[in-house]
Amino acid sequence: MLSPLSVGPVRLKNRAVFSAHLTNMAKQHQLSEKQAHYYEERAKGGVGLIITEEVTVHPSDWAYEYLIDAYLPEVVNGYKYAVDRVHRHGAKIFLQLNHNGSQGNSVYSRRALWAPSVSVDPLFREAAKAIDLYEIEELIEYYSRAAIYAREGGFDGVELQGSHSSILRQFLSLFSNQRSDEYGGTLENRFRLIKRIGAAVRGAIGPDMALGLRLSGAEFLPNGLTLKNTIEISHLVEQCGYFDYLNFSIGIASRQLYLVEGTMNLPPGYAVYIAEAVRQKIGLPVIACGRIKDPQQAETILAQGQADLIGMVRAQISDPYFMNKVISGEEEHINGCLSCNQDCIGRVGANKEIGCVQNPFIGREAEWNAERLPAAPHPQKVVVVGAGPAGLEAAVIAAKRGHTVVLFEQNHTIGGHISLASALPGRAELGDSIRNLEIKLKQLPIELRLGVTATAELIREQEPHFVIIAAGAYVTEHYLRQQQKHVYHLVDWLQSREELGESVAIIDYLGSSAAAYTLELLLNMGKRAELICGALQPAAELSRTTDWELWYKRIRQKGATVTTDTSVLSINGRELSLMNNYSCEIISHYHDNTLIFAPLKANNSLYYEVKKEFPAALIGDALAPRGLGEAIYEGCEAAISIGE
Amino acid sequence: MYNNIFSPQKINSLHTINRLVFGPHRLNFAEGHVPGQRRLAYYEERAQGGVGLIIMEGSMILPQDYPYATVLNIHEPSASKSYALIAQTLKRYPLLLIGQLNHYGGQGNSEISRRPLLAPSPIPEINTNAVPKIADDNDLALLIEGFTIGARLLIASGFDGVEINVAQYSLLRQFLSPLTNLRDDAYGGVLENRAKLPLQIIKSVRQELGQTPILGLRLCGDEYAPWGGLGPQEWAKIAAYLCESIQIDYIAVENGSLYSSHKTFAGIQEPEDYAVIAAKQIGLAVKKPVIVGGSLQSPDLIESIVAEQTCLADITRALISDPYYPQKLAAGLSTKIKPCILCRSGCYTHTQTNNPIACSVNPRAGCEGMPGIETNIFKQDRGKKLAVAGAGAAGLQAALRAAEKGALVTLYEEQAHIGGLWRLYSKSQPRLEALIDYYLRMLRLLNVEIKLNQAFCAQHATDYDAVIIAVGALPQREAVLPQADMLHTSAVQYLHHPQPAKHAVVYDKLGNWQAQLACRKLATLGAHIDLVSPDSYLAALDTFNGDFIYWYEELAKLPIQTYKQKTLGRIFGAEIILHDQYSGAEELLSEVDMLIEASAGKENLNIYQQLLGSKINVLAVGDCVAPRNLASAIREGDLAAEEVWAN
Repeated sequence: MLSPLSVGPVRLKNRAVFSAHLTNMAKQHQLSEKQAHYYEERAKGGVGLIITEEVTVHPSDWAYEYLIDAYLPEVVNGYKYAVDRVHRHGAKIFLQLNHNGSQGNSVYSRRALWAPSVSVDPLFREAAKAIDLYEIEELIEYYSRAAIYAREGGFDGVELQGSHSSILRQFLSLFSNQRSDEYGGTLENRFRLIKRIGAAVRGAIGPDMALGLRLSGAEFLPNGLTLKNTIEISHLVEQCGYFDYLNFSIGIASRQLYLVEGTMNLPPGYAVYIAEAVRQKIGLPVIACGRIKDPQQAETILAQGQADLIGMVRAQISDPYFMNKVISGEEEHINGCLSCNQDCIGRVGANKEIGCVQNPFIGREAEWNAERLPAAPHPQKVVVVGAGPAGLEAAVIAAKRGHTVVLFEQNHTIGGHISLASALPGRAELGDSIRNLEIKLKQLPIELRLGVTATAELIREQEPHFVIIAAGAYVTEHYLRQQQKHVYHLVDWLQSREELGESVAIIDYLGSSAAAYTLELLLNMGKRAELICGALQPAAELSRTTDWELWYKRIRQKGATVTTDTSVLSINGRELSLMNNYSCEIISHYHDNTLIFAPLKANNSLYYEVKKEFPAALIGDALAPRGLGEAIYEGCEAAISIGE
Repeated sequence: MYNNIFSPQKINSLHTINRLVFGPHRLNFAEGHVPGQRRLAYYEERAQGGVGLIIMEGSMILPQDYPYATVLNIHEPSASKSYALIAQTLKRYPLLLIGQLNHYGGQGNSEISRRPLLAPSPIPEINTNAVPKIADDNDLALLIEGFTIGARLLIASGFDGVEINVAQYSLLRQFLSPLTNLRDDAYGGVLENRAKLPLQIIKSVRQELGQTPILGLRLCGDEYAPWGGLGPQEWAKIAAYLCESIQIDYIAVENGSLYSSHKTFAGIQEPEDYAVIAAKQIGLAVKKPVIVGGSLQSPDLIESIVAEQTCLADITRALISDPYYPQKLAAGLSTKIKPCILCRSGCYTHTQTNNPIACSVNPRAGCEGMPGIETNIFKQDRGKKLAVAGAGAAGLQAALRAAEKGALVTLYEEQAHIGGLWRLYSKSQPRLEALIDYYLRMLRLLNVEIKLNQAFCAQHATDYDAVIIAVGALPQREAVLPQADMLHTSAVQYLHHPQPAKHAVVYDKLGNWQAQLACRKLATLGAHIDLVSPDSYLAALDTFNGDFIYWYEELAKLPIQTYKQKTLGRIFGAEIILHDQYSGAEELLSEVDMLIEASAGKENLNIYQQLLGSKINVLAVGDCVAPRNLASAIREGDLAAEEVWAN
C-alpha cells in the first residue's frame, strides 16, 4: 500500500486512489471551492491519487443538475484552485472526462440525448438519438477541448469514463451499439471512437500527463460486454499506445447500480476479479475497486498481484485520514465505512450534496473536520443523556473540544437501536458505527455511566453548563393492535424475539429497511412471511441505498409475499382485513402473528423538563425518530454549538 | 363579450383591471433563493399579456424550512433588494402584485437543511417517510415572528399585499386539519384549538401591516381525505371562523393535501371547474372576493363563474401555455389562444425532480428573456420556401413558427388528418384535441398549405429552400415470434387499426398512455386482457403527476389481469410464458390470440439521410430522430423553424 508507483509520466506516492464519484457540490457547473476542500482533505489524509468526479465534455450531456461543464473555458479557474490545494499535500489529481450518452435525460439540456443507436435507458426512460458521423467528429473535438482545459488547469492526468455510465461504453457494447458504419459491428469498429478520442486527448495533453481509461468489466446484459470482451478491449487499449493505466468498475449505473456501488450485501472486493483477470494479460497498471475498505484487504490484493492500485472511495469519505492511519500503524482508529450507502449514494441519488452517516464534516472541510476540531474557548461541563449514535457522537466531539462530559445510558450497553438493526440478516456492518464511536470514546476522558436512567434531579446534581438529550424514541401502542398479544410492534419483537407461529405478516408504514430485513429474517427462520405496505413498491429506503434489487430477489426466491397498494383496516386474531387503496376492494389475509412497523415516539420529555434550567439541545430520535445519519449529524452539531 | 372577466374587482382599497390571476407556483429557477432576472422575465411576460393579479411563488419564512433546492426565502439577507426589483418592474403594468408566505411543515424535505421537518404531529412525509419534529412553543413563536417579519418585508419592497398559505404544502393547513394534527394540547383537538396558530399568525401580520395593504389567505377547499381530513363544508366553516375577528381581504382556494397532490393542479381526469364548488361555498361563507382555482381555462366558463359570484379566476396553467391569453381574449381573438393541455409534465414540478419550469406546448415558457428567446416575432423569413414533412406535433409547431416568421410553408402529411401520434391520444384527451384544432386554425390563418394524404418524398425537396423532417417514429415490435399463432402488433398500430380479440396480452415497456388506451379499446371490444409490465408498478411514467391513481381505479373495473415485474419468455402457438424477473418463476398464458407491445418506436430518418448530401437545408426533429414526448417534439419543431436556415 505504501510503495510508490509510476503511472505513465506520473509518480504516485502510494497505492491508494480516491476514485471518481459524484458529489453534487458543483457550483454554476464548475468545480466549486467546497469540492476542492473536499479533495484536499483526502490529500491531506495521505491518499496518493485523486480522480475528480466526472465532468462532461459536451452540452448534449446534462444528465443531472449539478454536472460540471468541461467544454467551457471558465471551468479552468475551479480546476486550478482544486489542483493547487491537492498538490500542497503531495497527492496527484486526475480529471475524469465523460459523456453519459443515453444515460441521462433532457429536462435540463432541452435537447436530444446522444447515443450510438436509438435506445431507451431503463432508468431515465428517454429515447436517445443515434449520433451521425458529423456529431462523432464534434464529440471527439469536444473531448480534445476538455483535455486542453484539463492541462491548463494543472491536472496531472486525465481519465476517460468508459464504464458504468458513458457513451464510450455504449459504443463498445453490442447491447447498445447496433450501428452498421465503421463505429459498429466488430470490436475494432466499436473501439474506434475510444481510439480516436484517446489520440485526440493524448495530443491535447502531451506526454507529461497521464491518460487512463475506466471500463465496466462486465455488463451482465444480453449481447452485453463480458469479462472476455473486457480483456480483448484492454489489449486494444494497450496496443493503441495512448493510455497509461486501466481502471475498472462493474455493471451499468442505470441497470445494476447495486454492482457499481455495492453495499454490505455484496462481499468485500466483489469486483476485484475483473482487475485481476486483466492484469494477468496486460502490462498497463490496473486499478481495482468495489468495497475495499480494510487496509489488510487492500494490501493482500496488491501483494497477490490482483491490481496495482486500490480505488477506495467510501472508505475515504468516511475517514479522510485513512491512509495517514495506515502509514502510522493506527489502523484500528480508522473510522471504517459501513457500506450502508445511505448518505453518499443515497443523498447524491436524491440530487442532494454528498454526505456520510459517519462523517458529519463532509462539505465543510474548510472549517471543520474530525481530526482538527477547534478547542472550545471556555471548556464546560456537559451532560449527555443517551448513548445511542447521537449521544455518543455528541459526547465524543464535545470531549475532543475540551469539554468535560458525563454520558448517561439507561441500558447496560451502548449503541441504542443500532444493535437491533445490525442483528438483522446481512446488516452486521451497521454495528461498526458503534464500534467506531466506542474506540473514540475510550480514548477520551468521558465519564460513561451505564445502567443509569437520567432524571432532571440527576442532571441537576452534575451542575452542567449544557445538557444534550439524545434519549432516542420508544414504541407506543398502535391502534391496529388492540391489546392482542400475537401482534407486536416490530421493534418490540426484535427486542424480545418471542416465539412466532408459522406465518407472519409485517405491516410497514415507513418503507423501511427495518421491515425489509426483518422479513428476510423471518424467511430465514422458515416462516411464511408477507410484507404489507401502502406504497407502490416496498422498502423505499432500500431503493435509495441500491439494496433493493438483490434484497427483493432474495426474498422472492425465499417465497415471500409482498402486498403493496394496501391499507390494513383491522387485525382480528389471525385475520387481517386489507383494503386496496385504488380499487377499495377489501379482502382478508391470515397470519399467526403480525409485526407492525410504525413511527416511534420521540423521547423528549426530559428535554422540556431541563431546558428551563440549562442551555440544552435535543437531538437524534429524541428530536424526531429518523436514521443513523441524522443522529450522528445532530450529535456533532449539538457538541459544536456548546457555549455559542 | 367577456364583460365580467374584464370588469375590475376591488380588493381592500385597490382594484384589479380584470378577473384573471396568475397564481403562485414553483419555478425552480436557481437564483440564490431570491427573485432574479429569469423569474422577473417570466412574470413580466404575463404582465405584458394583460393579467390582472400576480401572486408570486411562496417564500419561506424560516431557514429551518428548506423544502426544495431552489426555494425562495424572504429571510435571505439580499431579499429586500431582489423583491423590490420584482415589485418595481411589475408595478409598471396595471396589475396587482401579491407575495405569498409559507412554511412547508411536514410536507418539506429535510435533506438540504439537515434539520428535521416541523409539523403539528409526527406524520411521515409521503415521499421520504421522514418523521417530523413535533412543533413546540419555541417553534410556534418563531413561526409567528417569521410570518410577521416576512409580511413587513414584502410590503416594504412594494408588493400590494401578502398572502398566507394555509392550503396545499403548508404547515398551517397541517395544523387546521385533523388529518395531520393529532395534538392533545391547546393547538389540537377542537377547531378553535387547531385554528389557534393560524389565527395568531394572521392577527400578528394584520397588526404589522395596518389596514390598507391587502392580506389574503390561501385555503384548502377539499383535502380529498374523507377518512380524516376536511371537506368543502368544513373549510367554509374555517374560512368564516378565520375572517370573524380579523380583516382578511380575499380568500384563494387550492384543493388537495398530502395524500392528494394530484388534485391540486389536476390533470385531464377532473373537469376544468372541479375546484369551483368548494371555492363558492367558501365565498358564500365569508362574503369576500374569492380566487377560484383548479384547471380553469375556457373563457365562457370563467365568464359565467365570475358573473355569478364576487370572484377572480386563477388561470395559471393557461397563462403558462399562452402568456397573452388576457390580451387575446380582450381583443376578441380567443381562437388564437394556445391551449393548455393539462399534461403537467413541465409545470408540475412538485415531485422529486428539480428542473426549471417548462411547458409542453409553449417551448418558451421558463426561458423568457434568455438569449435567443424572442417575444416579438419579426417576419425576417418572408418569402422563403419551406417544406415540413409530417403534421405531428413537431411538424405542426415548425410550420406554425416558420409561417409566423413569414416563410411560405407547405406541410405534407401522409395520413388524412393532422396530429400524428398525438391524434391517437387526443381521442381520450380532449385538451389535446383542442391543441390540434388550434394548430389547424392558426396554420390556415397563416396560409400554410396543408397537403394531406401526401407523404413527403425526396423529389419534392427541389421546390423548396429548406426542409424540416418531422415524420414521426416507426412502430416497433421487439418480441420475435417465429412459431406463434397470434396477432402481433404495437400499441400504436393497434390504436390506428383496433380490432376485437378474445384474449389479448398487452406488454407495456413504456408505462404511459399507449398501453392504457390499448387496454381500454380492447375492453370495449370485449377482450379479456393480461397487462404485463417489467416494472414493479404499472404506469410508471404517470406516477410523477399522480395520474396513475385514476388508471389504477379504472383498472379495477376492467376485465384486466395485471402482471408486474414480468418479461416475455417463450412464445409458441397461442401460449406466452411470462418470466418473473426476481423469483425466476414462470407463468403460462394460454389461448392468447393477440399480443400488443407498447414500446418507444424506431427512428425514421430515411428521407433525411437522402437529403443530407444535397444542397437543400434540411433538419430532422421530433420522434423521427428519437421517439420521445410531446414537449420534445414541439420544442424541436419550434427551434427547427429558426435553425433550418442556418443548416
